[in-house]
Amino acid sequence: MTNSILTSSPIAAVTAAGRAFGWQKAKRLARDHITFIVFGLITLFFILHAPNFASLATANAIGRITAVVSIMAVGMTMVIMCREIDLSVGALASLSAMVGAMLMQTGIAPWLSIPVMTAFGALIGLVNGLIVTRLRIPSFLVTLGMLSILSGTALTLTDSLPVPIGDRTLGKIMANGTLIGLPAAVWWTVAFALAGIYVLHLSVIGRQMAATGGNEAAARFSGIDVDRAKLVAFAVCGACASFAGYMLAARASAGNPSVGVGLELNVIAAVIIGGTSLFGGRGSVIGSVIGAIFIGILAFGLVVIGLSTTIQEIVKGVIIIVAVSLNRR
Amino acid sequence: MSAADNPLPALVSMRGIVKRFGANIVLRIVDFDVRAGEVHALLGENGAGKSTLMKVLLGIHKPDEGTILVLGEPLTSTSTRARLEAGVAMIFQELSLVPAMSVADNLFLGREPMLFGGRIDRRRIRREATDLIARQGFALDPDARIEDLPFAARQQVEILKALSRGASVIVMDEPTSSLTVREEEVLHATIAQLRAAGIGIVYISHRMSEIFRVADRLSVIKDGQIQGPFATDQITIPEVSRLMARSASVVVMKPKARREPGEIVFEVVGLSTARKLRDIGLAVRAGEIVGIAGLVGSGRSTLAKALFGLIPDARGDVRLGGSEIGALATPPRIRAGMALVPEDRRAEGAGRPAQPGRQCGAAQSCRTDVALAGRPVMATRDRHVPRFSRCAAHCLPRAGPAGLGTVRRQPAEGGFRKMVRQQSKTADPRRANGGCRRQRQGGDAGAGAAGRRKGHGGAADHLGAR
Ligand SMILES: Nc1ncnc2c1ncn2[C@@H]1O[C@H](COP(=O)(O)OP(=O)(O)O)[C@@H](O)[C@H]1O
Ligand SMILES: [Mg+2]
Repeated sequence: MTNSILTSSPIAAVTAAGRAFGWQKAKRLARDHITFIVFGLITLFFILHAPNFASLATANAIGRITAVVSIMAVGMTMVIMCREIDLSVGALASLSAMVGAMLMQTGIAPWLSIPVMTAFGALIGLVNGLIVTRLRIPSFLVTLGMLSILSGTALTLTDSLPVPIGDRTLGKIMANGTLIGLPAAVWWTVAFALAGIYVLHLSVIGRQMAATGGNEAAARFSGIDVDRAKLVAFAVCGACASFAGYMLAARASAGNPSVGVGLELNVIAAVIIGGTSLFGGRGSVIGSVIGAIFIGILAFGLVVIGLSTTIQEIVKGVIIIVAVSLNRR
Repeated sequence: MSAADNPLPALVSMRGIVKRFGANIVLRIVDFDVRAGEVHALLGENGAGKSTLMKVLLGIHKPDEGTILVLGEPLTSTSTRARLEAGVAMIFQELSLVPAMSVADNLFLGREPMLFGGRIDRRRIRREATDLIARQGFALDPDARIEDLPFAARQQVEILKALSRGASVIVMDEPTSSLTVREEEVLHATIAQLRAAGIGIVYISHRMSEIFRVADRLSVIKDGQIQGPFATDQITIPEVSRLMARSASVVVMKPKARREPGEIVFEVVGLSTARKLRDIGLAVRAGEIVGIAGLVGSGRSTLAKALFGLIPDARGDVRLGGSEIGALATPPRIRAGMALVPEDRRAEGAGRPAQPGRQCGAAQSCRTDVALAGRPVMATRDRHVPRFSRCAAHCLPRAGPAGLGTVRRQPAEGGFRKMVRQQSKTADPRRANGGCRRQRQGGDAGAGAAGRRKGHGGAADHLGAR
């Protein structure tokens, strides 16, 4: 029945206004990438003014210090795509560093501890998601509460004492070992980024996240299980945060209960700098990773230029606000 | 009178629908049906319950009583999703598309074809979307993002979305309220196609002439009750008007003796905002109502907010009660006795969410406005436009991709000054025509205004710059 109406009609000409114009696309391209342009200029500044900034060693160092934020940003991108936020990622990273180190003390095989810790993070993320979707409490509040709970737990576990990791292989697998000249941390970043791209941009669940954040009513009306999309996003975000926290512990050969303090700010900044809208519905994983790398370049560049770490924090904050304001949508 | 011997079967049959919101009984025992291949128009005043009845049909609201059959299947207690799957679709007043996604992606949202590994088959989506668009004869680019498209094109996407999901009944809730005349004609051609294909259409509109052009049957909702259906070729506009008029509220207001307006109490020169408004000049005299007309999205609400100092990037000179006020300051305006009755009172007004038993309909909220009438009051809610448009002196053109043109001041004529008249649902038809004429003169450059006559009372019910 439906087919018979789908015959051609003479009304096509009238609706030619329905076409999008080429210049609109060009304008949007520039608008979408304005922060990249700004950070490109900042990088250029460092290359010109900092001695030996443009070197493979620098790139490796930045890759290493950026890995944690990059990996967490992959999960955060999904949550923000759904028009939610997860403020608990830094605290979860701290807790995971502690729990992971304690897990290693039980004598578990290092390679096995990695998926266990990732699943642990997914579980915490799932709890966040369940509270948000079932109780209809804004994720800002839920995850703010969770931040407090998780960081408190991390400190309570050992009375704020760090937990040493005796096993050297874990550090090699997760952070310091090299493969084809690149540190393991960089390889993990690439792996998480690729997986994130697959989930968010190629798979159906990613499309559902984008629709959920883009217009929740429309998504529901198109038969999308909006709550499930959010649950998956929170779970992935938790998994990424937990993995990143464990990576920090592996790198330092010890679980430190305050290792993740404040990381959520860098992560969210990376996502927004990367062009993902805080209002949901648009964004990209690759943008978030680039955003994280930019933050790394900024921090590293400021050190190389010789600013004290205290002033660095101020400069970094200002630049992040400027970048985010340019990218406000 | 109703074409009872029509052989086509009912696609949808709603029986004895009762719907209350708290103490507000919106629908009391309403029957409604839609047959294959017909356009069934639903009329009624604003707030009569037309949208509510259709939301009950879609399962968005649960009816307190009554049954709903779709193609003979009882669906009364099923979810919206089940209704959609049964072939009932609705084109919303506020469209339900994802703005950041492309046309093709929106058409297949929620039922994307998959490749192995849960990957979306983008190629197939694009191909099938292109086919779908071509077969319906729309000039849509499947790759265009919804947010870049004009309203009419978005509506076409909604219609395609419904068709591609195998809809056999399509509800259109005031589909022409933000269309230009040309776009409206395209829509009507589409409706003719759909009808020829055996799809049943529910058409909600205020515009009487439009209803008689597209509808086969019509029903009128008033005071929670439905009258009809009537075949459109067996009923006349005055008869329908009589059905819609609410006898209780027909307060015959004698036009007050013409009164010359007083001195200028509020004046704006060169008001502009970054996006919507450009160089707007406007003056309000004491005892005067100045109407602002325009299509949805043309900037009426923005203008009202800007006049009240609520738009952060507004520029211009504002004079209120003889003293100069910046374009951007609400507190001095309030001190000087200015008030804004916002468009969305629930979201922007002072009140907390309405409680059961304290609901008030349009008529009551209108009285609230009147209560403020001692001061310059602005009201921009759609519902007020019909009343305002009688005295429309300003006209906002349709928002194009590049924003808005200039609003022109047209000398206001006397005879429509009293705020109280807002309350009157019946107006002198001659005055309505006068309003239209003024509107026509006041339209934007090159645009002829379409003043149409609503049946009851003969008030002009839609004015736009076209
Ligand atoms: N979600 C809701 N909650 C409470 N009251 C509502 C709701 N939706 C509509 N109403 C009330 O129902 C009445 C009918 O509204 P509506 O169906 O939108 O009218 P129409 O579409 O005919 O203009 C109005 O008085 C309105 O205030
Ligand atoms: Mg309505």
